[in-house]
Order: sequence, then structure tokens, then C-alpha cells
Amino acid sequence: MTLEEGQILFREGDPGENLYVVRDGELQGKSTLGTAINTYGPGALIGELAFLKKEPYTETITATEDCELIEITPDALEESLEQEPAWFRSIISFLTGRLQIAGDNKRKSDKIKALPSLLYILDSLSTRAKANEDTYVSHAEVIDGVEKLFNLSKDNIEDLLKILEELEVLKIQGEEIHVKNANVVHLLYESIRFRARYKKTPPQILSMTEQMVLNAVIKTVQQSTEPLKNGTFTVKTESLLKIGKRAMFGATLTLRTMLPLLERKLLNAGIPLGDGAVLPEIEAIPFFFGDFDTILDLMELNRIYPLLDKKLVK
Amino acid sequence: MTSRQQLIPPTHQSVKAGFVVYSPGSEYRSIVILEEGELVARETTPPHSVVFTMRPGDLVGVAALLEREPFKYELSASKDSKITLVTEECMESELKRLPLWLLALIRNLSAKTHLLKRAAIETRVRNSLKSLAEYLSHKPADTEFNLAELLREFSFLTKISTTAAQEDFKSLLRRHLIKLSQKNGRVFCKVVDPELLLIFTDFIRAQETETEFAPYRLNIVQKKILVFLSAIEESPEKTGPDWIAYIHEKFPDADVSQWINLLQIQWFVKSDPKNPDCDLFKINKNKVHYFLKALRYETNIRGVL
Repeated sequence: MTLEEGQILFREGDPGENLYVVRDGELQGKSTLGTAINTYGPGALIGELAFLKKEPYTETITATEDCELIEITPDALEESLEQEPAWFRSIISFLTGRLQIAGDNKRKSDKIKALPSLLYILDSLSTRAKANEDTYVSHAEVIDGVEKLFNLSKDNIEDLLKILEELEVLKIQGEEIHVKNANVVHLLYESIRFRARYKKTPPQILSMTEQMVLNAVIKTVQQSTEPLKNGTFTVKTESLLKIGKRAMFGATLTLRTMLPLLERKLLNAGIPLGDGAVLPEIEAIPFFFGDFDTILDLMELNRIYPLLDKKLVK
Repeated sequence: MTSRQQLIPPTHQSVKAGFVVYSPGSEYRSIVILEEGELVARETTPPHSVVFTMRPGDLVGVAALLEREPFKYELSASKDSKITLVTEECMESELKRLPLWLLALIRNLSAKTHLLKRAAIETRVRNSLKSLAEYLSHKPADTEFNLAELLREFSFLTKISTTAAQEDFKSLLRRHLIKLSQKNGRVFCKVVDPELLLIFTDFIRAQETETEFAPYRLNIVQKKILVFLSAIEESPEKTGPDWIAYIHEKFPDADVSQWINLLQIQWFVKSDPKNPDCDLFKINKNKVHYFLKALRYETNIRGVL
């Protein structure tokens, strides 16, 4: 068959049927999922996965010059395979499956690798917006930034944004993206960066016990009538213990369980604790205080962090 | 004798449980097809864990035979089994019998898989200079950053090696888009103007798509209009015809087609973009500023200092 320059061989999404071998001329393939343009010259094969798996073609193929092609139909394949030993069909099927798996893995790996770039751009834009007391960033600017930084296609960036939307990090609202909490985006980016660099759990990721303690603190603050002073809360130990009994699912709130949080100054005791070698009973501390937003942000990060990996590999 | 009769047949074997079908040290490569029974692939080092189990119909060794990829596990029978071995000679004789397009198809499937596997571990970035400029455009101006830290973060984001990125830092330095300084044996980097870096990324993108960068396509009249618009402090709101008349009065060479051009390059925007009925336009100060800066620093952007 022949094609004239500018003619389309098939479009992305068209049902896969034939395989084409380029005899002469050049064609270009473009997919909405990728940023690259594939060029097919003499000897190249076009549409092999669609041909073998009977799946839709994955790119739109246009002749960039007058072309001559050999068209191979599924019947021709069947006819050839019938003349080969049975094991040969298994090998074709194995190679097809392996190529498809490699393609799926590549797409997954692209998204996983692009996440830090997306968070970096979101962190930068949302921090800038926050400085102007705004929580909205331009959707186009995010796409443009990630595309320039990481060379990921628009569709893949949109997929990543949807994952963050499902995790309630942001909300896509047409031309704008509402970033719910710029601090959490920043913490998420820094956590992922730390994990990549040091190959260990980031310090922002809390143990279950630490999360339970902070959960009890948050509930106590929310039920307290005492107002925050410049974002700093104060909770009476008596109230904290009472709420801790319910919020910690049977675990006991002691100064020992609170120690990691006290050492990191996420919580502060109302009286000096010395070097921590000998800890007093928790009842001896009249109150605890700390920055409420820092705790809320950290708890939000700890909610999102474990879910993110699962969503990415799904 | 026709070519169809030249196939060297595969070997069929019956093996007892425990028989080692393939070990990585073996010089012979073959595709193993399990007809009956069960085979297991184990690690060659203690505790010799089972990596996968083969059921009837499964096959291994295709990549080892066709692409010389090493098969690193020991394959043994966990039950009495019947296997078919497609040796190199057998496969070669089979491939010789195939029509050319089918042979090309097999080679293509292998080559594409290989490329995809390699691409999955490589960077996606095709233009590392554009990528670096974008990365640095998000750093605040006139703040000193440790260059080693910047390189590490950039490499973490893009998977570009720090060695390759160093060349791009030099390229930005030559364009005076960044400054480097040394203190106590450490090198520090300062972004001169983040917006200029952003303009530079747009310039590179225009080059990639072989289109001329919009600010460098302006004619004399448009450049005069640009300077004029940039000097207007409070942007008035006017209808399209009013703006055309206003611009024409100042620049007699500018006509209706010029107004269409100015709208295309977004120097004017609707006063209320959310209202489809809005017929008032105002000057898009950000865009005008962008064009002006791109022109003012053209030599830096083009790298012809």
C-alpha cells in the first residue's frame, strides 16, 4: 500500500488490526501519553502490539513523505504460525507479554520518578501563593513547570495530580488548583527527598505511638476552651490523660511514651525535665504546650505518606 | 529439499524430581518449555530461595537465548516432569525458515522491550539545560545556595547525573543567569533573576519546536507599542474598537490586524475573564513585562555575550 505525505495511516485509539512494515519513505507517530515523536523509516514495523494483542493502536501515525508499506493481516500471521511448531507460538506470546509488561512498568516508573518534580513545583508555587495569602496556584503553570523540569506528558502529570487530589492534598478547579495546605506539600516533598537521600524513614514520619499521643493532644486542644496564643496551645495534663484514655486505644499515656515528641520539641513540658535520665510521673507535669499548626501538619503528612506509595504503584 | 524441511527439532526429555535442568554456569543456552510436572527456579546463593515455579505450558530462557541476557537462577524439577528444550541450533534453524516480516517482528519485540527496560532507569529529560533553568527559576533571587546541595537536589528530581548538570550550570553562568562564588573552599550559587530563567526555558522550548521565540518575532511597530504599554501605570479598560483607535492614534502604522496580533501574544486580556459577555480589555502587565525583559536580556538568553 502507498500513502501520500500528510496522510494518516491510523489514529491513536483505532482498533488494532494490521501490522505495517515500512518499505520506503518516513512516517511519524505521536501519542497523547508521550512527549516524544517516533519516526519510522524503511525497515521499521508499525503497530506490532496492537496487531498481536488485538488492542487499539497507541499512537497516530502520519506519513511525513510519500510512503510505501507492506500490510500484514492477522490472517497472514495465523497462516505463518500454523506452519511453525507449536512451541513457536508460545515464544511469540511470551515476547508480546514481556513487551507489554515492560511498557506498563515504564509508565509506572515514569510517574513514580516524576512525583518529586511535581511536589517541587507545587511547593514552590503554593509557598509563593501563601506569601500573598492565597491558596490557589495556576493549573497551567504546574503542568508547564513539571513538563519543563521532568519532560513528563500533560496526561501523566494530570494523573499524578489526581492521585494528590484523591489524597486530599489539593483540589483541581478548572484553571486553578486549590492547595489545601502548602506546609504539607513542603513536608511531603522534604520527606520523599530525605528517604531518597538517606534510604531511611524520614524524621517527619512518626511511629504509631507518637501519632496516638499527638491525636490525643489534638482532641484535647479541640475540646479545650482555652484559646491559642500566637498559634501555641496549652493543655492541662489532667485533661490530656482523660482524653488520652479514649484516644489511645488502650495504650497508656506516660512521659516515656511522650519522650520522643518532647525531645523533638513538638511537645513541651510545663516544667523543666532535666536531662531526661530520670523522668517524673506524668501527673507531676501541670501542662504541655506546643505549636498547634505544626502538629496538625505533621499528622496530615503522616496520613498521606503511607498512602502515596500505594496509590503510585496501583 | 525446501527450507521448510531444515528445522532441527527440539529435544524432549523426561526428568526425575531433583534433576537440575539448567544451572547458570552452563555454556549451553536453551528455551525450556514445561510439558508436564513442575519446575522451580532458585537463587544460586544460600538460602537458595525459590524465585518462581513453572507450571505446564510455561517457558523460560527466551531472553537468554535471543538477547544473550543472563539467566541467573538454577532451574530444577520439583516433580517428575516432561520438558522440551529449544536449543540455539534449533532456534536458529527455526528463525531461518520464517518469513522476513515475522523475523523482523520478533527482533522488534525484543529490541523494544530492551529499550523500555533501559528507559525505565534513565532520566526522561531530553534537554537538561532547560530542566536546570526551570529548577533554578523556583529558587529565590540573591540567596546563596551550596552548589553541591543544588546539584544533589536537581539530580534527585531529574535523575540527571551531577557531572552532566555541572556543564549546564556553566552554561547558565556564561549567560550571567546565575552567579557563583567561593567561600571556605565551598562553591555557592546565586540566582540573578528567577523570571529570567523562566524566560530562558520558554526560549529553549521554542527552539526545540523550531518556532521563533515570540518576543524575538516582534516587528518595529510592535516593539514601540510594547515600550508604550509598559509605561502606562494604570491600565485603562476599553473595548476592542476603542483600543484599536487608541493605538492607531499613537502609532498610525498599527491597524486592526495588529490588534489581533497583540491579542494573540496576550498583551491584552479581558477585564473579566470569567464573564463570556465581557467586551472590555485591559493591558496584561505581566505579559508586557515578560516581553520587555526577554528583549532587554536577549544577549543573555541567546548566549551571545
